[in-house]
Order: sequence, then structure tokens, then C-alpha cells
Amino acid sequence: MSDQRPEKANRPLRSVLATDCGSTTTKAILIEKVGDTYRQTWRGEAPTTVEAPFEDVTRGVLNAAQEVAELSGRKLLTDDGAGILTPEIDPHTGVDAYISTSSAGGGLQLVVGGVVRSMTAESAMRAALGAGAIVMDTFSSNDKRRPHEQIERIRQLRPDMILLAGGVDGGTRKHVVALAERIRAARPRTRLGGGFDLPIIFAGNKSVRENIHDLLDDISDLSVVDNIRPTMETENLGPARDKIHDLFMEHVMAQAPGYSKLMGWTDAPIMPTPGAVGLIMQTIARQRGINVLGVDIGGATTDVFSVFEGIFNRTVSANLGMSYSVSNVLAEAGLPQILRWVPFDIDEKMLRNRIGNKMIRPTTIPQTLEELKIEQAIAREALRLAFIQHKEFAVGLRGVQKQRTIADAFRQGGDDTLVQMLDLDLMVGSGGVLSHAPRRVQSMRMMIDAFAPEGVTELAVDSIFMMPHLGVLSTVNELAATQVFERDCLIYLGTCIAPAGVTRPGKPVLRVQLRLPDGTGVDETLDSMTLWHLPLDHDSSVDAVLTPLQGTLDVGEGPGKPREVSLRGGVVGLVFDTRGRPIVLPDDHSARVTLLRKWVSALGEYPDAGVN
Amino acid sequence: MNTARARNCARCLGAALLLLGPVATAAPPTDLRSEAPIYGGGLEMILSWTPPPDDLIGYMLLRGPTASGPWKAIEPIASDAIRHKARVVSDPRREAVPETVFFRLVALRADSPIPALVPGEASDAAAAESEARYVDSLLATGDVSAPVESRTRAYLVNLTPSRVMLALIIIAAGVLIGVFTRAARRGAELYIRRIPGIDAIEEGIGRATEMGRPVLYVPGIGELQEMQTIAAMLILGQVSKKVAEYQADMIVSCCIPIVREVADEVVKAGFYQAGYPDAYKPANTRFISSDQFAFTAGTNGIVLREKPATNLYLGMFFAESLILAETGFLNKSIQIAGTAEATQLPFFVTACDYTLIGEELYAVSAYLSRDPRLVSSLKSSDYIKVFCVVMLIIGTVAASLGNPLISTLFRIAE
Amino acid sequence: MAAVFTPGLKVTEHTIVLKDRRLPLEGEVLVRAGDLVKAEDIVARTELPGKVYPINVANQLSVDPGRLRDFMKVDVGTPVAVGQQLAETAGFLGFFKSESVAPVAGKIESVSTVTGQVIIQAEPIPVQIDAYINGRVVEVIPGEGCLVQANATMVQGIFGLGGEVKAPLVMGVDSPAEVLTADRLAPDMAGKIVVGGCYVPLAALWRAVELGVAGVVTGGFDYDEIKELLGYEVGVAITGGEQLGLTLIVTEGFGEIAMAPATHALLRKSAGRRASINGATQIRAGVIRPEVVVTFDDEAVPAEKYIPPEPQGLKPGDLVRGIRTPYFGRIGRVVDLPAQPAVLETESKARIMEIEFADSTRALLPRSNVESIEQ
Repeated sequence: MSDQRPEKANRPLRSVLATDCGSTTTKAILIEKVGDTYRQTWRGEAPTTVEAPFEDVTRGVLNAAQEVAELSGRKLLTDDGAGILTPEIDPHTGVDAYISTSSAGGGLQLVVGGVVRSMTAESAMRAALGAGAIVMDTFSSNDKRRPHEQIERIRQLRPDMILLAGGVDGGTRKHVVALAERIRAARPRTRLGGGFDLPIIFAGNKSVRENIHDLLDDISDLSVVDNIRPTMETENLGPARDKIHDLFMEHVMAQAPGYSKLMGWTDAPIMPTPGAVGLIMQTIARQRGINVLGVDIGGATTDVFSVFEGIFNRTVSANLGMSYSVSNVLAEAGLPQILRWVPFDIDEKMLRNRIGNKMIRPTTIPQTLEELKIEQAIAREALRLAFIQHKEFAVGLRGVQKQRTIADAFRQGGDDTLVQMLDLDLMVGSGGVLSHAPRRVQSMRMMIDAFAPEGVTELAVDSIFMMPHLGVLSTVNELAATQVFERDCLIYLGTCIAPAGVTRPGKPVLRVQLRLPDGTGVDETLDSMTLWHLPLDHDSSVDAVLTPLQGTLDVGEGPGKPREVSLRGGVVGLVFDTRGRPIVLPDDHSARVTLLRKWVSALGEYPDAGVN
Repeated sequence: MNTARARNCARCLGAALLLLGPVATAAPPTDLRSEAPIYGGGLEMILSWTPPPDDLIGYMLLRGPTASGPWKAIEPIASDAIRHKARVVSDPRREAVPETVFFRLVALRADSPIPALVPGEASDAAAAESEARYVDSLLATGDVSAPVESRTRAYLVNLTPSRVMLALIIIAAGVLIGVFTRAARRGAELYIRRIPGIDAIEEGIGRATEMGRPVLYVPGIGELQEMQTIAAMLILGQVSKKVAEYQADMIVSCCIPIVREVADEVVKAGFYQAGYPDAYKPANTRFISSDQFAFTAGTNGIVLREKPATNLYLGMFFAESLILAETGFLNKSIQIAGTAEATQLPFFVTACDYTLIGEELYAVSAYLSRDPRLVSSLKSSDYIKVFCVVMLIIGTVAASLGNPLISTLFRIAE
Repeated sequence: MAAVFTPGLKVTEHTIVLKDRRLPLEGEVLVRAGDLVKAEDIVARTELPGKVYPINVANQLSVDPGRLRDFMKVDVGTPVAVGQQLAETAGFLGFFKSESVAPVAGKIESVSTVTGQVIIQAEPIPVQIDAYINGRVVEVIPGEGCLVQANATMVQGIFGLGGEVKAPLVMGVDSPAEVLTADRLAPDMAGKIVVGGCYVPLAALWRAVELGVAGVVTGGFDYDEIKELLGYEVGVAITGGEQLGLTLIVTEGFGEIAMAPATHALLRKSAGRRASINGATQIRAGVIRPEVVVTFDDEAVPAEKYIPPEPQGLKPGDLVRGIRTPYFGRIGRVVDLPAQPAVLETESKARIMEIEFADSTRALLPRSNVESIEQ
């Protein structure tokens, strides 16, 4: 989006107010230029006011802004209290820009369609997810549903819009038209009802545009954009993604209570919250030239974002969450998978009931340490499952002619996912269970256990979920967004160092030679199944030589090869993990509990050192 | 009398003996043994013996129903032999095969009694009598071995190590198939390693669907009874089901008329199974020509005119492999080839996106359908293969060190 | 700032209940504002579009889809009967004709010259909704439905399965701490709503289904038995459409938890009267709770729409229920609401409250782990 507004990209800014209207709370942050750098200085929040009895989102925004105003002593509201005061008049009055994101009312919900599930339908899904939408369902010619089943389903769903793709340019006509015919037969209606036609975006084979107009013009608000997959070998998500954002503003937002007023206030288009998060991650990955993985674990859903080799992917695991969907985590992972992270015995029936009760009372928090450990065990599984889904989705294009060599002919294949953990540089976690864990080391452990980072990976959490604000800010002023991201948004936990590959038990795995900031040297040899913790703050770094002691293990330089690297710390420090990949816990109960307790005490995770 | 005997013997003895004159006598062959081979159905016995130390002109084999005779001279054996395959009855179509039979071996020397070759007519009785007299004269020389008993049914229970091994392998294969089938039916996930080429088949069909172009399937130029052609037909069944699900088009180009007929049925069945009988088009299964290169030219014509998005070459291929694959490559199709013809693999590997090498061709059907029966037999044959490879390595090492144990275990034919 | 505690469940002896009765899609409202209605009265009706059947006629006829219109015997929009000819080819000299017939009765929705599909839309399915409770229509939403209002006893549960049922209440157990076992169910409970105590085992539920019991209200139920009951897991608490044979309402939560004495007493008081219950639950934005509504039919219903007062924050003396281990299901009264957050055993900081339970013991609970019982 930044491409579209070059004139704004480097507009001098002294202060910005950013809000994110979530489904329950509206969060406001104030970003000010302090000296030469932009800092996030104040924040405030208020309940979102989309639903009855208020039915006006701006009231929540004004309440949140007022809280910031009171805290900062800067006047942010207009005199009548019915608007944001822009631009800045003096350092105590007004702000230069006001921006906002929104996920209120369940966010942006889309139904997508394409010809082949793993090809154009997947491209359409990628476009929708990348725009920050929730994909309610994906239709394709080969989704194993009969046409009438598809029609029934489209009828039941009440999406905010439909994105229809299919066919390369000059490719299939009949499949695309058949999908459009089904949409027509279903006569889908919008989620919010009212007299509006459902927005449908057609981003498929350009040679069927006429047929699509004939079929869908009179039942929907049809917009046609460039093909999302002009050839099998190329993907062009931009036009569809921008169209989704435009329609999000024009239709979805315009119908939600108070949004038309809010849209008048903002200096950049309101974006769906996850779309904004994706934007800031892409910006960071591009600027620093790194691969980034982000996760946001919520009560109902878990979002995973990744930028590998400049390619952005986002997935939403709609049924993995810590409260509303917690029972689904239990159903999908299975109780034994959750229990393997729990360092004590517990009655299974009781645990199932407890998880059920968390589902029906989603706002409760763990009061006892035992409850906290169970909750964090569930979080590990939810994150792990969401990440598996992400890896399956984040793949290269399918159906492409390959230039393969003789060597490839004998290759057994393997995973073709873009998400290669050894190449990952930074992992960012957010969402209650990660951001608000009582000890930061617990967040670090959860992320290491769930995502199994390989090689050298920096870990961080977004403590107050500021990423959406910064995503929109990056469309206005990229410098401000990245500066705040670096300084205020992330809490660096530290670095995880883990050799990739299966470790042989009972044998030394990794030799670690470090030169600490105070000049002392450390030379440690770590056995398998060990977690070793070395406190180190984020402002210091150590030079390290990592030598795998087993030939198949890889710390990033290839199997068995030593690696010289500079390691940065964080609030936790360095964590060396020699459990091998994948992490396999012993089946034997007592052996597993012993190991878990050893790790807990090595990292100082819980006040009771894991003994329970 | 002499004349009759001579004629009878002439019927059963080799001509070489007839040229010999009378010679002196010495020791008999010793340690005559009989063994029933696993082949031959019990009609033949392998005899082995230790020859006497002095020079011989040959042996005469005697056969009798009991250890004490009566004996019958059945065939001469060359002087340098130490093993011989002996028939237990002269004509199994006319005579019943006895349960036991006895053999003796007579060493023939220059002075052994030899029937002279004198043609003439005589009654059967007279012939029998002269033969008996001949046998008697042989026995009288004292150059005769002790009788050896041969059990004609022994091959049924001949527990040589190699037979036991074979039996064990067969039983193991059966048990493995049973176990895997049960496991698969109960929903256990039988791991089959990923074969990128097979995964690419579905991708290829998808590509064809998106591009609105057909899939081209060439089942090779082998006759229907060839293993590879049968495998190609099995795969075609799966592929056509997928093609039907995707609502795409598929052209099958055949070189053998009967293969075309079978392919047509297979495609039809695939479309019906997928639930799209109406999408099946018989005209898309085509017989081009029985001539190898006319067929190749015709198929290339299809590639150039109808521009298929995906070409599948699965089956038996010869010189046409590179011609087809190169044309497809220029047409920018995704190409997946599979053949067990080792000589053609390099061409496919260079010109195609994916190549199924040898055995992989036979695994496709199980891989695609995940039918418990197919998967379990694939799985069990893999285990047997692993076992055989391990034995091969151990056997090679052992044989190099001079230990014949493993090679004995796997010796099947004598 | 909004109250930190979780809004509670209503357990009220006498209140005004307002029920929103709406059609799933636009239709006709049959009542007028001010009308008195019985629970069974139909208040609105509409027709759901019928199922859609696509048939590939071009393939059946073996003709090019582009020429399909030349062979069609029926036009778009016309009704067809089962077996009626849809299209026919000319054939050769009147022979070798091929035809396509309608597999279902309905209306021709569309004929496609690209795919060759003819889409038949089957007969519409009539849908009607009743008033659910005896009461007065206080507002009509044109084309959508109406609001029905009544004086009633109202008990909200936390989780339910199954849809709307209207039947008399009958007590299955004597005290809120008793288990509703299978042997407590008698054949004369058929068609009634049975009120249980702390727990209902799966066997008793099966027995209830067998007897034809209309509904069961219980304090607790085992979470893993839902899977056995329904055949699938309920991973997200959005229910109401289950086809169980009865409606189940859980008032406290999963496990064996005594029903709140007030709830039990209220249900006991209502025993013998007819209740309207609904198991539909949605624990997300736009919360829906399962409920038991017993209307007072002899009282006059106010004609104007009742606007419920805004929920008040908790204050000392209010009745609350603990909703998380280790105080799950315990009921007590608020003693103190300290303004400062406190550090929990987990080392988290949270705002807390002090509660005195029925046995006079006191405990500190995070405010988010407490639910008010609204009386």
C-alpha cells in the first residue's frame, strides 16, 4: 500500500495517535518524536463500542484517546470531544496523524473460490489471508463436494465478501463459469444484512470476465481485478489484496456502526488488524533482510505470519485458541499430547472437565500454579498445531514446470514448505498466554517447545500487541514504524541455540565456546536432552563458536560444521537446547517428568522449580 | 538268440559302446547316492558316485523295483561323469511312477560284455530274455555298485536348507501381507515414502484443469501382458478418477489395439467411480498405430495440436522415449515418466520433470489409491526386499571369506 | 471502565422476559404489536429456497454446451415435474435421439452455455416460528419477526444442548447435591422437563431419551460424555442444533457440581408449571445462554418494551459463584473489593475480591474467576 501513497511515505511527523478497535477492547497508543527517534510514549484502552447499547465505534476510540490524553497531558480530542485533534499545534495539543485498524465484529470474513484447491483456490486464499481476512470456506472444483452441497454451503455462510479466482489467463473457462453459476444459484447474502449487495471480487481468467458479469452483476456488487494467477508460474496477489482492503472500507466498514465517522478521521485507510500485522512484519523483514515468524494466539484463533525469502504468508487456525476454542485444542491434539508437557500427575477426566469449563467461561485466569502449568501445556500444543498448518500452507506455487537435474531425479523429496527453521532469524509471539506469562522465560519455553527453532533464532514477544498500529503507521511513515518496532514494541527474550537433527541420547551434542562481554571465556559441552540457560541482556552480545559434536547435527553451517556467530541476549538470555529436532519426549512417565523438572529448574521457569 | 539280444540292446544303448571290443575287469564305482531334485516332479533322480581309480570306457545304469532286482539296463553314461540325472520310469505316460526304485551302476571296461549290433526280427519275449542275459553278464563282471534306493516322492519332503529358506520367505510374505492388510483396514497409517513423481501427477492434472487443456497419457508400447503395461493400466484407473474429479479432459494414446480397448474400459470405470459418468468421452482414448514410429509421430501430433498441459508416460518405452519427452518439453508441459526399462531412464530423467524409476512404477497404484490390499502387498514386498538386500550383503561378505552358508541358503536350482 | 468481573447468569424469580423471534430470512410476520400470544402460536413464516440440483445436460446429450439452447424443451423460470423432458437432440431422421429428463421437481433456475449445466431449484421449504413463550407482542420487525414479552421466572444455564422445548417441569431429585441417576426417572416423566441436582450420568440421559423426557436441567455434566452423547466433540461452545431427542441444560459447568441452591429452589417452586427451555448456547460475541423460562400467565403483561437496566458492578454482599479451580462451583458473598491488584500464586498480577463462602470460610479470588448470580 505504501507504493500507492509515495507522497506520504516520508512526511515529517512529530506525533501519531494509533488505535486498534478489537472485538472487546480498543487500544490507543501515542507515538512521539523524542529527539531524533520515534518512541511509543503513552497508551490507553477502553471497551469497544460496536455493539448495543452504544453502536458507535468512535465512542470507544474517543474513550481510549482520552485515557492517553490524560496520561500524557497532551490534548488529543477536539473541543467538543467528538473528534481527534489533527494536526499537531504544539507539543501539548493535537497529533500530526491519526490512524486505525479494526477487527471488531469478528474481523473481515471471506469466502474464496478457485478452480483447483492447491492452485488458484490457494492463491485466492493467500490473497485473502494476506489482506487480513478470515477465510470461512474455500470452494474449488475438486473439493470433493457436489455442486448442490457447495451451493447449500455458500447459502449458509454469510461472508463479508467473496473472492473468486480460477483459471490462468486464457485457461479454463468452464470451471470458472461453473463456480460463478453456483454462487448465482446460492444467492449469497452479506453478514450484516441490510439492503446491500454482497461484494464479489473476480480475480480469475480474464477471458471469462464477460460471462462473470452476465452471471453475477445483478445479484452482487461485482468488481473485476487482474488475475491472481495470470500464468501457472506467477502469482499476482496485489490487485486482489488491495481490492479487498478497498471493499473492506467501502462496504464492511461503512455498514458497521460508527465506522463511516471513523473513516473520516483517519489519515490512512483503516486496515483489518491482521493485515496490518502482516505489513509491519514484511517491512521489518525487508529492512533488516531477515526471515521472520510471528504468532498471535488468541482466545478463539491463532494467527501465524511468516516472511521467508521475502515471501509473506499468513494462516489463521480458526479453531485453535486458549479460551473459546480451547476444547478444540484438546480434540485435535489429544490429551496425551497435552499431558506430555505437564510435569505432574493429574486425573484425566478432571482435566477434560477443566478444559471444558475454560471453554464455557473463557475469561477466567489460572489462579494456582498447577492451573498455569496446564494452561501453558495447552498453549504449546495449540501453537504447535497452528504452526503445522502454517508450514503446510506456506509452500511454493503448485503446477509449475520444473527444471530438474539428474540429481533431483534421485531425491526423495521432503517438505517443500518455505518455512525453513534453520534460516529463521526472529520469532515474535503475541497474545495473552505469551505476552502476559508471569515470567518471560515461560513464554520463551513455550515458543521453543511449540515451534522447535533450529540453529540460532532470536525470540521476542509483543507485550501490548502494538504490531497492528505499527503496520498502518508503516504506510504513513516507515521510519517511525520500524523505530518504534525495534525500541518499544518488542520485548526481546533472548536467543535460542538448537542444533537441528536427531541427537543420540547420552552423548555430548554441542560444544559452546563463548567470550562474555566482561572478557571471560566459557567453554561448555552439552549432553543431549539438555536446556542450558545463560542470562544475558539485549544490549550485550557475545561471540560464540558452536560446534556440533554429532555428525548429523546442524547449527546453520551444514551438518557437523562449527559456526561462529554473535549472540544477543534479552530479558531471558541465551537458551541452548540440545533436545534435537523434532523434540521427542520419553514415553516413560517418570523419565519424562524427571526431564521436565530438570528443564524447569534449569531455566527457573516456575517459583516451585517444577516440583509439584 | 544272439541276434535278438543284440537288437534289443541296440534299442537302449548308445552307439559309442557298440564300437568297443572286449576289455579287462577291475573295481566297481562306489558310494552311489540318489537325491530328489525340487524340480522334475519326482520323475528324475540325481545320482552321484565315486568313480573307480582305473580307466573306464563308460557306465551302464541299471534300475530295478527292489534291491535284489530284477534289473534292467536303462542307459549308458559317459566315462568322465560323476553325476547323472536318471529317470525313474522310461515313459511316465504309460507306466505308473513307483514310490521307490533302485539303481545300480556298472563300470564298463574294454572287456565288458557288449551286445553286438546284429539287426534281425524276434519276439518280445525273446528280446526280454536276451536283455536279462545281458544284465546277468554285466552283474557277473563284479564291476557293479551296491544298489541305492531312490524315493520318488522324496522331493515333497526334501528339507534342503534352500527349500526351507524359500518356504520361510513365502510364509513370511504371506504373514506380512495379512498383518499389513489387517492394520490398514483398521485404519492404521502405513507409511509409504513420498515419491515426488507421483505427487506431481495430481499437480499435473490440476495444472491441466487450470489451463483448460487436456492431460496426455501414454501407456507405452508394450503388449498388454507386459508387467509394465499392466502397471500402466492400474495407474490409468487412478489417474482417470482424479481427472474426472477435476472435471478435466484426458487423452490416452495407445500403440496396441487391445491396450486401447482395456484403457477405454479403465478410463470409463474411473469416471464412473468418481461419480462423473457423463464427463467420460470415449473418443479421447485413441489407437494411433501398431508401428512404433508411426505411433510416436501420431502422439507427437497430439502434443503439438492439442497442447496438453501435462504428459504422463508410464509403461514400456523404447527408442520413442526421448522423441516423445522432448516434444512435450518444447510444448512446456509438465511431464512425468515412469518405466522399468533401464535403457530409457536416462532420456526420461533429462527431458521430464519427474521420473519414476523402475520399481516405483509398480508402487504408484498402491500409493495413489491407498487401497489396503495394494498398500499391504507393497509394504510386505518391501520388507522382503530389505531382507534380501541384507542377505545379499552378508552373503557377499561371507562368500568372500569362504563361508558358503548364505549362498547355500539361497541355492534353488542344482 | 467496564466491570472486570464476568457478567453473571440470571436466576430470577420474577422478571420481565423479552424474546426476540426472528426468521432466518425475510418473510411474513403474522402478529401485530400488542397481540397476546400463546407459546405455540405461529408468529412469522417464510419459505426457504429449495435445494439446487445442477445437471450437465450438454454432456448427457453429447452436444456442445454452446448449442444447448437449441435443444432445450423448457425455458428458464418454468416449473418442471420429475421425469419431465428437459432437452432432446434432433437425432438422425427422427432416430438416435438422446434426451435429458428432470430428476427432481422444481423450477429451471438457469441454463449455461459455457458449462452445459441446467440448474433446477426444488420446491421451497416452508419455515415458521412460534412465540416460544406465552406473552404479548411488544414490537414487530417488519419482514423479520417480533419481540414477545412476558412476566416470568428466568433461570440461565451456562451450557446446553438441543433446541427449544415447551413442557412442564418435574423434580427428579430432592436436593441440589444429588445425582440424577437412571432409576430416578419414571415413565410418567415422558414429555416433561426433569430437574436434576449436581450431576447426571450418561446412562441416565440415555434412559431419559428412551422414556421420551423432553428436557433435563442439571448442575454438572461430564465434558467427555458429550462426545459419546453426540458422536462428536463440541470444541467451540456454539450449540442448539443438536438432534438428541431432548434438551439438556447445565447450570454450573462440567464435572460434578451442586446446582446453586437458589437455582434449585426456584425450579422446585416452578415444578408442575409449564416451562419454555432452550439449550442453544453461544459463548462468543453476542452471547446466547441456555435458559428456563416459566411464564406467569395470569399476570398482565406490560405493553411497552422492557428495557433491562444496565448491569451494575459487583458490590459487597452480592452473591457470586467461583468459576475456576480451586474454587470452581463454590457460591459465596462478596466481602471486599480491594482496588489494588494482588499477586497470585502464579506470580501474575490481577485484581481480586474477597469472598465468604456458605461455610463462613473466606478466600481471595481474581475478579475474572468470579461470576455474579443475578437475582
